[in-house]
Amino acid sequence: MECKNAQDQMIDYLEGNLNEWEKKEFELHMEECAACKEELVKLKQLITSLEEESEAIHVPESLMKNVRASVASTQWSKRKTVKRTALLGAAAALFLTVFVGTAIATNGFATFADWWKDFGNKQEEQVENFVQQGLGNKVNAVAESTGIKITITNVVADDMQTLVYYEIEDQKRENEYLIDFSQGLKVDNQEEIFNSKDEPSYSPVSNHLRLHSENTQISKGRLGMGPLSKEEGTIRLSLNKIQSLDGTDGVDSSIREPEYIEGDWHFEIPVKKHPAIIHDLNVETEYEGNPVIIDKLTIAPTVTVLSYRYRNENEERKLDGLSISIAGIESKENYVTGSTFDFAGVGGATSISNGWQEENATFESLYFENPSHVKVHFGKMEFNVKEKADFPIDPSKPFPQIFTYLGTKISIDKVEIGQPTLITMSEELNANRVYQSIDYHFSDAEGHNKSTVINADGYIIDKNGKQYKAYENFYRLHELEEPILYPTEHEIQISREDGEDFIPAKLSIDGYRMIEYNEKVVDIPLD
Amino acid sequence: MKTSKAGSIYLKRIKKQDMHALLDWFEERQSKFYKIGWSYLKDYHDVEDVFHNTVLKVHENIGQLKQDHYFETWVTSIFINECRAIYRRKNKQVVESPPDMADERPIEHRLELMESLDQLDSQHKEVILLKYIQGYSQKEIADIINVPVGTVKSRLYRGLTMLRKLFEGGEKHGV
Repeated sequence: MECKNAQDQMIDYLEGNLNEWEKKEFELHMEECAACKEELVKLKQLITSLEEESEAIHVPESLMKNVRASVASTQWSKRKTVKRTALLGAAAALFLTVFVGTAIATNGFATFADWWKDFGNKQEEQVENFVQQGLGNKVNAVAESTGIKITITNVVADDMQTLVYYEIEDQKRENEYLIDFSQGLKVDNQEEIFNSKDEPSYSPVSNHLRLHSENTQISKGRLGMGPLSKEEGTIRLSLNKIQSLDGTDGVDSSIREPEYIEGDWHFEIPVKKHPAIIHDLNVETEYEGNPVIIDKLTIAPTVTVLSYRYRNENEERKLDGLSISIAGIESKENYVTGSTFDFAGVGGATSISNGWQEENATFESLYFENPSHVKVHFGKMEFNVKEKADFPIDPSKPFPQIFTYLGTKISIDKVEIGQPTLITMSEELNANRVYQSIDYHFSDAEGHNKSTVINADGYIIDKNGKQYKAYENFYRLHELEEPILYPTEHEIQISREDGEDFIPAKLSIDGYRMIEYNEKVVDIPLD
Repeated sequence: MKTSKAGSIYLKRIKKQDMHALLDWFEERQSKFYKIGWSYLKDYHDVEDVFHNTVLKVHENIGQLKQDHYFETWVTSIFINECRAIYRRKNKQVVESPPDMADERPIEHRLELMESLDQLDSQHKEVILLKYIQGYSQKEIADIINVPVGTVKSRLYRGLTMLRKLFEGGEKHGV
């Protein structure tokens, strides 16, 4: 054996990965070669030292407590993006897969159906526009299996995302179907075409949006994927099952198990990536005494992304769990706002680094205008206030049981003990309500308190005091002026890890969340 | 890194975006992740940030998980990415200056080895801490950082050799 080979095997020898014969050969060389032997001994010592180092690392006791607190605080501050929260989560999830036809017109709003139709039409216009401008490709890749025809109609790709539009037609005209992006979908050449190096087990598809279809026999949707790793290529997309929409109209699909039909569909989607216009800004400003740095404005064909960060630093007004949002970007010809459903996997991501909270806010695209200067309109500022209160619950007494927190009546309307236990809680909403939402939890006599909010509803109140029912209007929150969403009804589900019934003994409120709007516009010239 | 039975019950809830289940899952494995984070960043607050960012990313992107038994691998790869991101950002802030061993020689032997590890480039540092600080197998590391097993092996060997030189160099300097 040569030294080179011995070196190659050193790691495996130390780990005990060599077979008998290899081991013998290796050991023989060690006896013959002093240099290799010395190296082996040294490496072994080094590994032992490293393992000792590992043993010596102890987790600080406060770690998970702090992590839980910071996660809760971030989650709380992220309520603006409806889809990620329990509040209205069911409704939003429903919207993303199946269409509910039950929304009712209120306060001059069109119905949800009208809004959705309009949204779908706008998407279609936008895609046609992309194709005309050479930024999107008409694909028309058709595949048929078990009597179901799926067509990939268009694809639009830029530095931020890749959008694939499709249609599904049941030849037997029995059913409607959609792609479930988390199941039955695969990109065969994922490693080649998407940069999956950093996150190997990610599916490249990060979201799905059902789109309105004029023709009831054809359902339409959009798959949102990350940006391509190359300028041009072919996405090889395979599907082996699709979700059936049969009977799910107007039914809460988040509770029902979805039904699928199996088949075999393959597509080759030629795609070309279009570069975004990137403006490095580094504009320093402040919002209510907190430093804000606007780092970058990325204007891609499909989306505009504003990267900014802020620090919670106002000494006179120490705000816990601070979150600062951007309401919109104004250019010469446009005013673009963020929309909950407009964009694929871009934005929303937030991270903390060195005390700076970093955000990527997404807005409609400004690509065709390519503005020479923009005005950034700051939006709401959210923060937490600690104000503890405990209210005992007696399940043996009749409900509702009512408590008062900061002048607002909170009522436990119903408790159904079981697996899981269900609690219905409501909060009063009137001019006296000082907070936006409460941070609460239920616990039993033994201190168990793991709960999941399965449903919540409330009202959105805009700048002029106009009220909108949240469930019916959540999808156009961003169209309102200075909206604040006040939860009023909660359905909470609680079960104990040990399988015992959860019997609530106490409602604990840790504090509340406030939302403020302060007028602030920053003028930014773009090179 | 097969998902245990208890783990798969968690996973079911985690996939329904149950944040409590996800945090409980992390709590059970906090020592594992903390070791990786601490060896990478040497700063408690930074590791807390990494936990926070990882939890949120996993929660948000759980729909993108392709196969259940890759869950832990997937989470670890996100965790490592977050470590890398914070490490890079911090290193950008500090103007690159080679550590002066003579002036700031750590008293404890312990610290010296970890400081030597810190001087390795991230490619080699990552495999070493996943292997010897955390104890993942070569195959698991290959899945986490998405390179072939052969590459993991050669990085381990090269990394250890470099580390040995750095460490011994530091020691000699100190004597």
